[in-house]
Amino acid sequence: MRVLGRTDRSGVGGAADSFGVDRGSTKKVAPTAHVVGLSLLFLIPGLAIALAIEWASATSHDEWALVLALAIAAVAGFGLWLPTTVGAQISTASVFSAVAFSWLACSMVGAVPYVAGSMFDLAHFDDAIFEAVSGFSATGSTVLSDIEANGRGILMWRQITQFYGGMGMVVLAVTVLPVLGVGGLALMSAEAPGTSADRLAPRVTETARMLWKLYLGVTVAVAALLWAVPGPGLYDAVAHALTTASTGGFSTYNASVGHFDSWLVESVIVIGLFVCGMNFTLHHRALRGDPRSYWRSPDTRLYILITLGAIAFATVVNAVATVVDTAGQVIEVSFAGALRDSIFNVVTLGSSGGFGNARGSDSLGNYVLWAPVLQIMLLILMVVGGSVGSTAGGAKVFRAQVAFVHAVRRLKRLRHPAAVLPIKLGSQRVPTEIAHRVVGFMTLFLMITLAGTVLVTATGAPLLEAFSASISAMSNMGPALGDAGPTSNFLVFSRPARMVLAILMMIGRLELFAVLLMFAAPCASIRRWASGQR
Amino acid sequence: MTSGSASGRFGQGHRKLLGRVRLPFFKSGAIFDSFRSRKPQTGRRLPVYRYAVGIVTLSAALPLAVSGLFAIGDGLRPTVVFLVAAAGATAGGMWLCRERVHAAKLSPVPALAGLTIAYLWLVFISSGVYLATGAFDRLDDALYESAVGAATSALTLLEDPAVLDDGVLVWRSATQWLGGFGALAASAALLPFLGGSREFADPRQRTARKAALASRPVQAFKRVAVIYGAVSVVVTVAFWAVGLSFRDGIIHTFSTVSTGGFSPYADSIAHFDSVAVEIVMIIAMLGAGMSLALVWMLGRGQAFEALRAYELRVFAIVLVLATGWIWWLTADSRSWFREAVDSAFSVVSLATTTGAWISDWGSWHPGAVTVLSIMLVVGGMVGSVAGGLRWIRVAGLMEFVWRELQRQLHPRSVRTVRVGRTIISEAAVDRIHAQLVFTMGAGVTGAILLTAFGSTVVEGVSLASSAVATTGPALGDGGTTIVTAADLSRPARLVLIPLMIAGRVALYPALVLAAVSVHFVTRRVTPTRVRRAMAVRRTR
Repeated sequence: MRVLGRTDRSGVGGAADSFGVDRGSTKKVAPTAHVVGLSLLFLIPGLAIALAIEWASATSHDEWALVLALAIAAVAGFGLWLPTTVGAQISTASVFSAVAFSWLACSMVGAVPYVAGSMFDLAHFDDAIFEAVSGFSATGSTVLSDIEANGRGILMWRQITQFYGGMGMVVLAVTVLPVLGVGGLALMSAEAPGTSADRLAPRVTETARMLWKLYLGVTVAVAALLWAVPGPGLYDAVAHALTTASTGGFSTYNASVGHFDSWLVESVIVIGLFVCGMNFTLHHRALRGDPRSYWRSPDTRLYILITLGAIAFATVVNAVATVVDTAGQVIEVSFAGALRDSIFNVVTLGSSGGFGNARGSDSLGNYVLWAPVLQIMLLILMVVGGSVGSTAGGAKVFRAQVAFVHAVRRLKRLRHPAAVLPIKLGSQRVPTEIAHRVVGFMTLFLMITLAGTVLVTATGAPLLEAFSASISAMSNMGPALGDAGPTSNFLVFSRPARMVLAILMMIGRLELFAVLLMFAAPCASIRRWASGQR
Repeated sequence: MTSGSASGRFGQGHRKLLGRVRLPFFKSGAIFDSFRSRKPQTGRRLPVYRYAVGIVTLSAALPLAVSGLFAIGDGLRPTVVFLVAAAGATAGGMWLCRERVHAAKLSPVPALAGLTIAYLWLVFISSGVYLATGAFDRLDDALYESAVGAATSALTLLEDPAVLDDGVLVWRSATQWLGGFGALAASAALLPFLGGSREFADPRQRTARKAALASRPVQAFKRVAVIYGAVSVVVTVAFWAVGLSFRDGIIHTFSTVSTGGFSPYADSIAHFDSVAVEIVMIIAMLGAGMSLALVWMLGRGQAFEALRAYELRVFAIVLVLATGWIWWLTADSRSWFREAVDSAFSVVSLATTTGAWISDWGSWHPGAVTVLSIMLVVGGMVGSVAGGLRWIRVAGLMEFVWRELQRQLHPRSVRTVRVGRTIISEAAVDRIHAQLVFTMGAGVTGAILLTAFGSTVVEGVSLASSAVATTGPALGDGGTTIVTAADLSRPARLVLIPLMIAGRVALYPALVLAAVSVHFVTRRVTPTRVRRAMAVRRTR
């Protein structure tokens, strides 16, 4: 895997003059506004699809909510996009601002159908924002106690938000805006999960297009397979394919995938989640006739081994241990049943999907009933997440590997103090700068998770629920442990706690740095403006 | 500078020192000088491990004798056991330390492995004493209680320690005192001279080279002994002054200055129901959780200099904020003073990894419990008796993260990591990160094993974290504090033993010993032919 990504981030504004106007153009150089506007415009097709479904549905009438959202997206999108330009080169601070504000704006507009429709009343606008953030960050946590009570169009919009969030609106923007090619890789790196964005083609725009084509291809394949197996209709197949490819985890049913009670449906979703938890660059190479690239990639190798090992361990423990339901009754578990539920839950949590397959609240599909040792294992899987360059959340296998190897190197130094010990994954050498960035990321991940836990527990939430929900939010997983498990929802947390978790979701989805540095560009602008005034 | 010249220079210094000290096991102080040398080991194998075992054996002699004196009222058997053990420890220790270790031939690996072996030997001695006195019938129980003592943890096996004889109770606390002394000696007189976290060896950072605890290992070791002994005497007197009996004063001194947390009473410090005792405990725990270099400076009247220490300021701010936060969240109908003392006691007890308790903090507000759990893991100051990750390392990690954030904006800039006013090296940053990874790794491994042996998720994670930090108490199921290991399964207790010992030696030495052991076994098991083939392959 070639590691690129940081080289073209160091640029400073090129073609724009000191008044912020692009030479040869009357447009204002405002990269953040430009990218935000474009991202909002990309919501229009999704909203239109949801609107069409809502209109066609006889059971609900939230069309005007979707029309309102569509209008806001169009007006705000064009209003920000048309009069602005990104300039010849985007500064690094603007990259982070553009990405973070795009997600924020999309989440705000994405919440409009929920609050304008019948899903939430205006007094619970914060719940609507939580649901939208959970969607765009491909997390899958919900505050809906009865999902099925909502209209099909609105629910499809909820699924579509995760589809957008899986690959990212900014990557989408890069596909169609050649002018972003200058800083496009930087934008993609800031948004795409992983340590960097790999080039699939010489042009960044082409790379982004390839990624989206792959993403669409996987989605269509999963939808076709789900439609082909008994159970889901076309609507359900598409709805679940959208959230499978994005490893989001939203479902149109209260019981999530458990609603279908079909091992075929579970198999398709497991395969979809597993594939989308792997690096999309490797999928591209495999499709080009190099399937061995999967095994050549150390983090993909480890991802596969971790998943298989966790499945084996969970199956054995579930088959052997006594599982007790919420009423204290022992659940009879066959080996086949243990294998089925272990595969589903390990893959869905390992790839940060977050689907539930509890067939009734007291089945083994509800992993909250599993033995404590397995719950710890699931927490670890949540934190580690999928591969870099995938749609999965979490800290990523690559980072966990680098952090571990980096630490072990210190032990080796005790025996060989003067030795030059490079950090290597397989035969691949990791540059020191990347290693430091990874270590910084992991440390920050831990610190933010702990800070989130402190804040959530301060609102009165129990420690287990607060800690696991913070991890789940940071890893964009969805359900947590305890009362916030897969058969429950995040209404168990207070409203301030839910806002904290929504912020964690956004931070986790944008890989920490973008959100933490989102105000760097505005602050720099204010400083420049203030110095100009003086 | 060559290792030979270094050895000669330090050798002279030690001859001067030893003219006054006359400790048989420091024949030349060479064991400490050797840590400056990186020269590979050649020729005959050095008796480092035997030396480590000998030092521990000799150190245990005095506490055994003191315990024997307390055991006089308990009957003939315990008295004889303690006195014979004391005599045996003296003779055995001197015999084990009879051979000098050459300075220039020692490397960090055997020294660190020797440190872990020393702790394991203390556990072995203590278990023997428990079994011989009849305090415990089962070997695993004796091993567990000994490990808890040596690791200065507080998660005792005994629901009511008062059932034990006085002599055994004193010895039980004395194991903590010895464990604390070992930790101090390692952190002040061993690890910094191994090229360890020298940046953090002295909390005053910039002035570290001018006025560290000592510039030479033996001098540092002597000062550790003097400070530790003096603090112990002061705390004992303070306990007597606030009304504790002679026995209780000694026992609580042993377990407080070592941040151990043992008490002869089932309800720990709540037994006394005395604000004065609690305040003395708070002050003593704070002293134990502070860097020894700072205590040394305070003792020399350099209070102003000591207060300028960055780590002290960080630690003080953390303690004040945590106390305020918990006080605010747990306010009830009691008087504000009582609430404040209660909050401060719990914060200080857990932040210094002592583990003594006066209230069931596990049942407090979840926000307070979370903060206390974090305090429990992070621990006290570097160079103190307290365990845990240490707040200065957290500060270093935060500075590192800030540097990485800045690098995101300015990728080509060259930035350093500062802790306080000191620039710390990249190697030190790497060490801190490695410490964090190993701490988390040990905690997660422990949690997995504990949950496999019957603990709940919260209980397993909390117990493992507490064991690695050598604190002791942990969160139980249903919002209570676990203060004894009586309810844990036997396998779970066996899991806690290595976690506590590894945590007490700050993980690195335990990992080194594990690696050395694996290497040793592999060499014994693998045929020479195979080993040669592997070596050739490695070379290629």
